Amino acid sequence: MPISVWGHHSVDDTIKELTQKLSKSPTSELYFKRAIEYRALRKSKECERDLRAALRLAPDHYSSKMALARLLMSSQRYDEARTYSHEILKSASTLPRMIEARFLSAELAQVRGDYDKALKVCEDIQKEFPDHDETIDLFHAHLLIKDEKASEAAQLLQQAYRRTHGVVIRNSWIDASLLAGEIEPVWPVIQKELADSRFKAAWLIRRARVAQLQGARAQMQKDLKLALMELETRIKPERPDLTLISDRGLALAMKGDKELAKKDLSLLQKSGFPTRSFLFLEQQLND
Amino acid sequence: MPTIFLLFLTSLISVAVPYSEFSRAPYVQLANHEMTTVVWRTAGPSTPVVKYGQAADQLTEEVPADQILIRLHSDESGPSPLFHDTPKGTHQFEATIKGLSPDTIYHYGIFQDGKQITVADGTHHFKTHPIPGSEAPVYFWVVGDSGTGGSAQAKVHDAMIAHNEKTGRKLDLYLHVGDMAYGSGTNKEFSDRFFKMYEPTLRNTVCWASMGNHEGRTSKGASGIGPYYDAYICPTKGEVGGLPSGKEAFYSFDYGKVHFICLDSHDLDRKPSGEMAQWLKADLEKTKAEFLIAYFHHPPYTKGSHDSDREGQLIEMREHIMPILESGGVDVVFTGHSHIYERSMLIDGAYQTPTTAEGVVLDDGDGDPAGDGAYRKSKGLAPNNGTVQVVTGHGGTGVRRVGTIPLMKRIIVENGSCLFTIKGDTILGEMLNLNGEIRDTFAITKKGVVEHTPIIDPWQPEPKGRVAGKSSPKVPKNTTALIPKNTKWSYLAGKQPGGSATDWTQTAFDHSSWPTGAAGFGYGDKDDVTYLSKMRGKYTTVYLRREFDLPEGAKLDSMGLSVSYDDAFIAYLNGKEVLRVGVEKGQGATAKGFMLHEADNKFDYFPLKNVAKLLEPGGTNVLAIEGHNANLKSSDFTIHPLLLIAK
Repeated sequence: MPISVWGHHSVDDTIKELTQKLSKSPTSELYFKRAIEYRALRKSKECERDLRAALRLAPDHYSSKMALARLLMSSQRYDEARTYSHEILKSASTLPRMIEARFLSAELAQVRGDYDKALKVCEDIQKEFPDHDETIDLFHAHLLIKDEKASEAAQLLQQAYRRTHGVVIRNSWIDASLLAGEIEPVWPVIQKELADSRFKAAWLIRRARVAQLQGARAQMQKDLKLALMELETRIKPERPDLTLISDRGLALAMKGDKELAKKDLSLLQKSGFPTRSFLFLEQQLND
Repeated sequence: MPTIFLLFLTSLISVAVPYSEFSRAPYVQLANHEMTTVVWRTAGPSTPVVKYGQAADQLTEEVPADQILIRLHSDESGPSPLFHDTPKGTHQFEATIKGLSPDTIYHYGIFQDGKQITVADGTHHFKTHPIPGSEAPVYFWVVGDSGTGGSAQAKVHDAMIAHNEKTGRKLDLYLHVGDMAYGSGTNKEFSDRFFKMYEPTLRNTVCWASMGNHEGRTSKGASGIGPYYDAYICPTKGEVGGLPSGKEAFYSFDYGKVHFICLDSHDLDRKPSGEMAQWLKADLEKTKAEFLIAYFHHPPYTKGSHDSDREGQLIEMREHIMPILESGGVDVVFTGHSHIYERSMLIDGAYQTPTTAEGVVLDDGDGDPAGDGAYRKSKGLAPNNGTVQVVTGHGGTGVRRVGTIPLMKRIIVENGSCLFTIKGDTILGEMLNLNGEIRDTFAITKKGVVEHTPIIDPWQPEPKGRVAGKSSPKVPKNTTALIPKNTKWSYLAGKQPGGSATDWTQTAFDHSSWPTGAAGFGYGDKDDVTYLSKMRGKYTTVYLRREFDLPEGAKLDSMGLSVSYDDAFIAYLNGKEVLRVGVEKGQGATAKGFMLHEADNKFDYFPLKNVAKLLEPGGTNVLAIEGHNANLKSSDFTIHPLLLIAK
């Protein structure tokens, strides 16, 4: 029975089988499938070669073009990625593909430093495709925050939260609101989560940010101390959960332990955390 | 299902065609302690109602037709694609039954024009979840990589049903870790290789699914569109406990005191800054459950048909997601993708690539209550207190092993599935193979405060294809048997020999009370002459002794053993250990760390080196062998040794 029917036995076996098939009768689909297997093995060069081969055979092969554009973007070859992105934008015909193509275009603009274009594309997605994935809302909000429009970001995220009910959107809305100095709408959520949660550090830090905004320094220090004490019990020093390092860095920065906070920031940066995930930490360090 | 799908009420649809047969038989989905959803498909329109009650013949309550959601083919419903590739005319009905009592069995039937169209045999029923946080036990089935529609998949399913009938147990839920519809998770493949295959189970047990890479060929986690998302109704708003994820690709739910977390390891961002990881962190911080089970498709640790030291998705799940799960206190992680059964020791912090065992194993025992004892953890969800990884990608497709992950306590290359019970303070896991045999058992007991110190030099499994003695399938030419096949041996079964652990191997040992029998010794597999009918479930070790003479001029350094064995053995010549195969340490009753091995009616040849000095030419020589079964409940055991020497 062909491997592709019953599920492959190993990536190497699948590549071998696809190579045999390609030697007999090459098709864009077979090249695309082999490219995906190479991608699984993190063999970017071979993956790119096969995606290009697939597009030579079928220039409109959507999946190959999208995968190639993303691969080029990740290897910082933005000009060529943009060429493919334009082609994808023109050819995408179904609703999910139209959204996916726009989002690629926005991400590409952002990594090229063209924030205005990235924002414009996101705004277009908001208007034209109201049922888009919330990942786009998170990205859009980040662009707004970078553009010092935290209040707009908070509004956008609140609307997205009403649509999806996703907790990451909700927490991002709270964080953007605090950045904008808008305490009132998010305060009840912070209070409730503090009361309900098993681990409270992330919510103690948010309450500390409220105290910081209100100038209640003693309350802020008290909450930060409690948060750091809890994080101490949760962080395994030799192999830490980076999401907790992100929390600790922020708490340390707010508390005034900037050197320790910088160490945490450095660890996050070395681990490939994207900038948007420690915007607040950077802001505190810069204050 | 994604929110962009339009939902229609039957009252809005004109009913022109009478009921046609189910194109997908009724199955239950999205259940909590007061709600369950019944889903089915027909090839054409109809106006069904769902009736339900606490007995099969008393379906007194009703979900009327105008409260049943219908999904339609995109060409028939508007611009949004309701289904990925269903035939036109397909109707999917989703009847949500609300206001139910917790922990209660309800029967249901689907009625058309007053006539029941589901079989009224009492098998269409479901049990509501217990009240969240309550002490109720949970019994669940875990399957992965099953979706071939073939005989192995059917046997694995049948074995589970037969096992439950034999033990009088009923599943509370079913987890599938992905690759349920080869090769691309199309609508037809789902119908043929998942829904038809598991129909008797799906009609009364909710399958909480995780998407595999094969479903990922046609379904997308980010958009929630495709046949996979058509088939399942997963919680997005915290309907069953857990924090709302906003999308079906990843979610959590509660059952009593157990929190289950499903992740999409296939096509979403796996980095700690990604949306899925951020949701996971928040979900773990919120839950107050006492047990935590996570499941997804790509295994962080495997050397089955896939290699977690080489493949990107697997490496990222290990390096990025496992630290979050372990700092959240996860107990067991189920995965698939790799077509094998691999079960780890109790581990924590094994994130490096390649995977090594040093300093990350907290308990290197077998976790078997009848063996080394259950793994111990603190009560509740303590951070980094130990995880057991279970790769259960052996649900129906061809199985394979490419290597050895040094964290694994059990590596079994057979089709099968997992059955788990969480009751009181204990998680009990069993691997049931396709023949209905329990091939692995382990438990985690959570009470008090348990602090572990990582073991610097833990037990590790033998590398693939290697046993302690070097074996060869070929016997050297020009050999003769000093102890031939089917020779009579003195043996001791079900008892321990007297004296110290190795006294019985000495030439002078008094074995007069031992019975004699012809080799091979064992049970199961029909390959044994001396049948040990009481061995299974009672004892795991058999001791053999046989005296032999050395011919004049024998080439003593050419001696070798040819052995058919299942699973392991230690051989002694005149009281000295000369060969150890598949036993890590210890002797007799203290032997530990067994490798699994199937005899398969084959003999492996092991040369015995440097044994000349141990032998007594012209005197009495004794070959003693202790044969070990790795598992008390194993389906078979064999030990059949031959002693060979060059002519």
